[in-house]
Amino acid sequence: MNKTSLILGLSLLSLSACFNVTLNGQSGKTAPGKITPAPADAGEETETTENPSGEAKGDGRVAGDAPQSTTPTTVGVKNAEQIMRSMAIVSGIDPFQTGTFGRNANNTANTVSLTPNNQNQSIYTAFDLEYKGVMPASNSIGAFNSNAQIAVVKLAWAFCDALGGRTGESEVPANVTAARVAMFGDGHAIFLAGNASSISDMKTQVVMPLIDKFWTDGSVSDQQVASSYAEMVTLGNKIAASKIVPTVGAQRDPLVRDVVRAVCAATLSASPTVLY
Amino acid sequence: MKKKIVEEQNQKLGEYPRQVGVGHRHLVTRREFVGHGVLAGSAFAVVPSLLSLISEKAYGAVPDAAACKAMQGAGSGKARIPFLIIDQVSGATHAGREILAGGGAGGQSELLSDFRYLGLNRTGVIPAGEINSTYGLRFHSTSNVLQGMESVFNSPAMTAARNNDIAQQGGLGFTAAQVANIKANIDGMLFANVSGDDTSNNPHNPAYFIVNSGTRGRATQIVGSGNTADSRGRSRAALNSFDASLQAVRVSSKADAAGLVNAGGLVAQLGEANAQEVLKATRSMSSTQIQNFSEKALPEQSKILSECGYIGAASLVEDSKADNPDPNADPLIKATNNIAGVNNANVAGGFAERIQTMAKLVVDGFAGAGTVELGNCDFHATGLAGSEARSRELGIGIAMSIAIAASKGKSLMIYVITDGSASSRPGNAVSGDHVQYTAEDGDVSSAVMIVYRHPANAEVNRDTNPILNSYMLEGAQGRRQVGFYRVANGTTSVNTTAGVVTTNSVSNLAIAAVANYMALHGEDASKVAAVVKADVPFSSEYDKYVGFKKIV
Repeated sequence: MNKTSLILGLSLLSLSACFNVTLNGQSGKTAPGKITPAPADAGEETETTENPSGEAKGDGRVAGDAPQSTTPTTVGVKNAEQIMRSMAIVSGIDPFQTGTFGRNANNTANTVSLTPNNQNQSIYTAFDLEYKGVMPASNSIGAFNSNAQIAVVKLAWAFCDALGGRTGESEVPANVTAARVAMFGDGHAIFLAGNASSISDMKTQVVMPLIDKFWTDGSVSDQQVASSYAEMVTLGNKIAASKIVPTVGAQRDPLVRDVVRAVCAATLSASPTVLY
Repeated sequence: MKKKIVEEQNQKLGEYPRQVGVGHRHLVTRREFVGHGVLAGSAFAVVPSLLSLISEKAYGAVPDAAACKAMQGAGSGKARIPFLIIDQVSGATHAGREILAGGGAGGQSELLSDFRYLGLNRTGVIPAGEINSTYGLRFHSTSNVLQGMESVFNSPAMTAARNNDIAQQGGLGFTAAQVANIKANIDGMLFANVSGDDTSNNPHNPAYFIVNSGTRGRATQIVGSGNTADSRGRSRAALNSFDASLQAVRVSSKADAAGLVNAGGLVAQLGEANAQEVLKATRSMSSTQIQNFSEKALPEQSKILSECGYIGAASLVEDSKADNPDPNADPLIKATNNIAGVNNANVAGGFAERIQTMAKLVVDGFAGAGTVELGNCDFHATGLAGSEARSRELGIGIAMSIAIAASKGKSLMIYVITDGSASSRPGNAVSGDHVQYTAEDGDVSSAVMIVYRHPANAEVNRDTNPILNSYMLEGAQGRRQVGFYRVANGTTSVNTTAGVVTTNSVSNLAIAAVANYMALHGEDASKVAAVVKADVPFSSEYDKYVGFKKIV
């Protein structure tokens, strides 16, 4: 059982209520309910746990236990190439393909690069020319600094722009659609033209999959997943509140793009992707 | 589906044997990185010296933006002289045709008797009329470096009126007397040294030493336009100077400089307010994870440093609204676009733009030290015209940097290095007074230190207030040289047997560079030793290697 099914399965009602309340501008619940501990990673390593409470769970583990699969010896930062590859793999976006960038408010192709004619660049080209030289060159934690993080955010934005920057299926390259299906499952329908999903539905459908797919990292605790989920919902609400556009129907497309990209970029550029 | 995509991407991304074994996917998770031994003790092999500045008691577990800036040395208000390195790629020659070289301990007062091996078709005594001392350091009158410098200072843009409207093209607004005063406050030294030809392996670059001497930028620390990872120049960082926490970042254009503090599409698409929300959310989520790392995995000080990476990112983007390193937003940088009378993009494939960019970053204090590469300087292979063009461009770069510093009321130190060198031979092709270089020859290499002192008033110049010490000014022409050359057995080379410790050690030369830089601030050998974390190899003859005096 993965984090998505655990959290959504146990807390779906309360989460949905939280979204709707927040969207209506009222204060209310601020966090999903108690999260049952989950494996730190769905990896292949065998995990062993103590059993102080003796309360068995359906997945064979025990409530109250912190997963202790491995004891990391120290922490480093991924270097530029490793970060780029990690982002490519977890997002499912091909960094070498051109023409993947999304659409801006004028419905023309976005630019994630500072160089001319960048609409036809691949993410890798932008990375190689503009971001790589500022990102960490070594695995020393000391190589991670503010400039590096700004470059990481820009690279994350490039992937997220490809992933969520277009609405209307006919405009989207086939492999981007494939990446969306892999990422969001049925939730990818929010990107389809004329989709009637509400903004609150959209957040339900995109936030947890992003965290779940991006943070395939054994060092991320369930508490962090829960608090980050709430953080991302809050972020989505702020982005939505800043836009004067309908939140349902076809006219909501720019809002879909902005919310998805914002949540995606925040999640993808956070420490679980960058540090190890 | 996802698995297939990942597999296809992995194929495209290529194999990385050090990290990925046959049949294994690329590393993504922390567990995979640790499990594959990527870390393998390397992450903390270099303990960031910045960590020593961090006081847990002072800042607590989660620092704020101001504390992070303080840790990074930014905003200290400590006035330091900007430092710029120009790294000529693949082996340029300065001594001889460009800067007159001494053949003995008298330096420029004891010139070589035969310059035909150093690109200048002269033997015997150089006539006084061919010695140009406009900039203190003696150039041959046909020097292309000299001509490049003159082309800048004689440019109408120097005296054209300033215009603070960035949409307009203004000048630097100096009077003719001020331009003359700028030129009279420049001096320099030639260092004769041997270095490896055509290689990035010379540990030449002193940028880390400079930053660790206390010259810190408020946006980043070390910038450079090159690809060598530790220095971002051509030559690599000086031995025992590398500090991962000061990682050099690549800045090769004005856009790159703007990008240091610009969140790009995030701001362009979401707007500044929403972009800040994204950065804050990233910081918050990351903070949770960082704090959850065990003390063993990530010591408290490193946690703070890591958090500062996220905190500082948001802070830099916010600060950039009022304090922007974008050269295109600076009317004084724009004023230099036409300063040399040429389209800057045509100077050595963008060299002028890189000079403008790096001068902006170091002079305005956005970076602690910067390196600009000047490409295509393999003088034995460029032909005579090519070597002359590159030397002229070096002069343009030096003078343009000084003009930018002067326009902002700042002094500046410029350090010119190269990997290897080239020599000529009697009988080679001649054009005017110059002889074509034909031999790759790191035995005649050199480095050049040039200082511009921004004068307190018009009465101050290098004659009334010398920039160099008395040892360097001894002799009819002054010494202005460390180490010397010799002509013997049909060739010329650096004399490495005269006991001058910088002649055959690029590492010692890098120490001499930071020692001279620190001397400009009145800092002595003991402070230099603390910065380089070693004994100063020329401490017993300090004045012979450290010619610059305190100017601030």
